[in-house]
Amino acid sequence: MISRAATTVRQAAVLARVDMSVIYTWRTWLFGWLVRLLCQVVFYSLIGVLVGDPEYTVYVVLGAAVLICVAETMMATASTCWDRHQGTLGLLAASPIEPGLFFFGRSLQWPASATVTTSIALLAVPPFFGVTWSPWQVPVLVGIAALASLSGYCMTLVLGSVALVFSGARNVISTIATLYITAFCGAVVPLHYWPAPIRWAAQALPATHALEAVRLVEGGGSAVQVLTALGLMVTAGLAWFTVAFFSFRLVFARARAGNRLLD
Amino acid sequence: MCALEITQLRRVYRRRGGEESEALRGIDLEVTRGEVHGLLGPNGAGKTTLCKIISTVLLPTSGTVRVLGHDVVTDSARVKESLGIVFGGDKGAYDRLTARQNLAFWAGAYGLTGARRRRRVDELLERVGLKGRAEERVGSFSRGMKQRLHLARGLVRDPGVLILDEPTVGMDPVAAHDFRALVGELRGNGTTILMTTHDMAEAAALSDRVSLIDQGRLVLTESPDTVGRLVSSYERVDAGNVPDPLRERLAAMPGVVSVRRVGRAVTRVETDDPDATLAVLRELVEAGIGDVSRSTPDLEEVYLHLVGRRGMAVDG
Repeated sequence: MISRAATTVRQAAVLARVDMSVIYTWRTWLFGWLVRLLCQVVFYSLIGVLVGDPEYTVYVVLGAAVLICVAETMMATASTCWDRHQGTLGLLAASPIEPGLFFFGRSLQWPASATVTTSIALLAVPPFFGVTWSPWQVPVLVGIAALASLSGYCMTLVLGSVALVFSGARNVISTIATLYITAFCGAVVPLHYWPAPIRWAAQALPATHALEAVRLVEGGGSAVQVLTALGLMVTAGLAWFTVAFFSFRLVFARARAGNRLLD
Repeated sequence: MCALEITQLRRVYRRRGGEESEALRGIDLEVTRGEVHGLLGPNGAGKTTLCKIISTVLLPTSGTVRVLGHDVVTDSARVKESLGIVFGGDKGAYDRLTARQNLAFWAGAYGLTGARRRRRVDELLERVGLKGRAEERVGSFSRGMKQRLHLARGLVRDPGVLILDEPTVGMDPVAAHDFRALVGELRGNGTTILMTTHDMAEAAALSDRVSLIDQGRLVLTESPDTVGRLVSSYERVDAGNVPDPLRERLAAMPGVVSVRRVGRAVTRVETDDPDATLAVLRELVEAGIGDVSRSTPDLEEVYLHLVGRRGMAVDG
């Protein structure tokens, strides 16, 4: 059972790897995509500089760096729909494949890429805005970036399952989700600014806990505090994955009833 | 034992506004193990809907379908394991993957791993004639090559039952010939095949039995020989320069199915009774028409008689 699940994810990840190699060469990824993301971090950080508050500048530069993994993993919303356009959904439905596991592997290129881009953004940009990292913090930040990307990806899979049904709205779905996450996860607007219900809802976002972990690392928080934030992030990610798993099952079950999704 | 048992199968689609469209209207069909069964029908007849229900992609509205004894609704997991599907058309392959990667993916989906999977993929690439193109991206393949790949994908698990939905669409004559040889080989191995097609000759050549489906109903299920006899019961007479009053008289004669122009000066009279053919010939000769020939229609024309001449119209 477990080996079959692993095979499904691994096979789907081959699709992810090939898609990535078609979308980017290493040059276009490095000098196009990465540079574009770093410019985004710098842009947000300059707002902090313009405000004239060094503390807020650090707040924004870290927030903007972590938002990269949100932006990049959000691409899974669209890539989940690729099978619909490819005409392979019907064949997937007729095969013994578990759809949730397949779609988990299907877009793994985004969290993989996001781990690298977020790590580079976290390590390379903040030093220009007054943040210094010690050598021991580097692997911790890379680890946070990896877990944040994966947890955020699990949340995006839920959006992907919705986009699979309303594929014409896939970009609208991801844009609105990115906007809400940017506003409420504490990246550029401190969490305490928002009313309690929004603060509570923000706890479901892996990015909220990823940011807290990064800020704790930067501010000299204890290992327990960092691990607690990471634990909450992973828990949120697992919860989203569970929702996505059953959501894809539901989408396929409803398609079988005849909504033409599998045509 | 039956490989496929279909009982009183109905499928209703509900459209926006609550309007209903009945794609299948009480289909009963049994396909025995090792049989190659041809399913013929015009566009919109219900062939693809039937294939989708058998392959667990669609739920029936009522009735039952059992594949090798497993119900497609209550035991779909077992059905999926024992079924291979080839849907026709361009879509259904991962264009960015190579042919080998595509097959490896589907082999993995059906539980094959490691050396067993590699062996199976090599075997299938060889079998469908794609070994030389195995490392090329499928996006660059012609429609016929994609169709071969679809066929190989349908066979990854060595299925007990194979559903082929318009499998030779887009294939060149050589590939179609190879495909027929492959179906013969599969029949020899005991694979049960349900094949939908528009190609009457293909259905007659490959199938043990043929079913005609129209407007969601089975019109008949017979052996190709019986269908052949049905073909021979129809005859046609072609005559040149037949005046309009004579054409009207011919159309009114008993046993005459149709009278129509097939060229600028040729009138074709179709009959379903040899006596009617003789009467038509007599009438033509007596009217002084010398340019007359008699022949039997092919299976396609008989098929058109059975399902009616609706031209290009697709049922809603």
